[in-house]
Amino acid sequence: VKNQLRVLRAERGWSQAELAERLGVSRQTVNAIETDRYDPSLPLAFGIARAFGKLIEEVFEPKGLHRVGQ
Amino acid sequence: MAQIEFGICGPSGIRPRKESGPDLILMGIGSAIFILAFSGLKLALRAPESSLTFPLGLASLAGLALAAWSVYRMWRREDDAALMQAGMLGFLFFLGLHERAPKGSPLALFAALLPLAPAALFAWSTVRLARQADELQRRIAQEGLAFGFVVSLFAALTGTALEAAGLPRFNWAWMAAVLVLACGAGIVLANRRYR
Repeated sequence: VKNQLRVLRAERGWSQAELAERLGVSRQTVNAIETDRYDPSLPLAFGIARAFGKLIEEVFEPKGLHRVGQ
Repeated sequence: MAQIEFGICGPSGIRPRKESGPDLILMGIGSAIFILAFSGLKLALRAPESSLTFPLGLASLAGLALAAWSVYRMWRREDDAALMQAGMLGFLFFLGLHERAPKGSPLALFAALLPLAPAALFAWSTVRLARQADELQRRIAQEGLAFGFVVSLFAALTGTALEAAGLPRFNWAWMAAVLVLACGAGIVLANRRYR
């Protein structure tokens, strides 16, 4: 999935380490998600969206997949 | 959350806390004293009525106590990374101790069972670190272990085939080292992928 993590983080002026601290994961995990090397689990994706005060689909969107019903 | 990286067959590659550095050195010194004194003790026991038996036995106990005390300090500090390294080092230090001890003697039995203590410490601290790991770190460990398992499996099968083809007999105790190295390599590779 594609994500807006880097943009949202930059808007708030948070470092990767700061976001990692808020999410309770390692900085490596935040970096891997940001650089599209790793797709987070659903609970972590919800946690990320909640950390930015957004809906999950505002942070993540499927890449190369057709949405169900389309 | 603690920054954990994965190394050899588990969340190692992590750095112990600074305060545990001296304790790891003390543990090494204690183990070295124990190994030297214990080796001397085994030789002394072969010579009937050797006057060195008691002082060497005492020195062995002192070395072991020093190593145990340093491990206790790390345990009090809850430094699982340091405990894991201490466990691995202790296991490697004590592994060959049973050799040359009079067979069937309590000393040989003690020396053969001694590596189990650091092995248990290693396993316990590894599990604790794995529990602290997040989902990506667990995936890295999983990929590394899968790689290590497959490599070790094929290494074992190839070894068997080579033996059957007439090559000298292979010491299968080395398979443990192959497994550890293959897991380590797998985890390093997986780590690079997600860096």
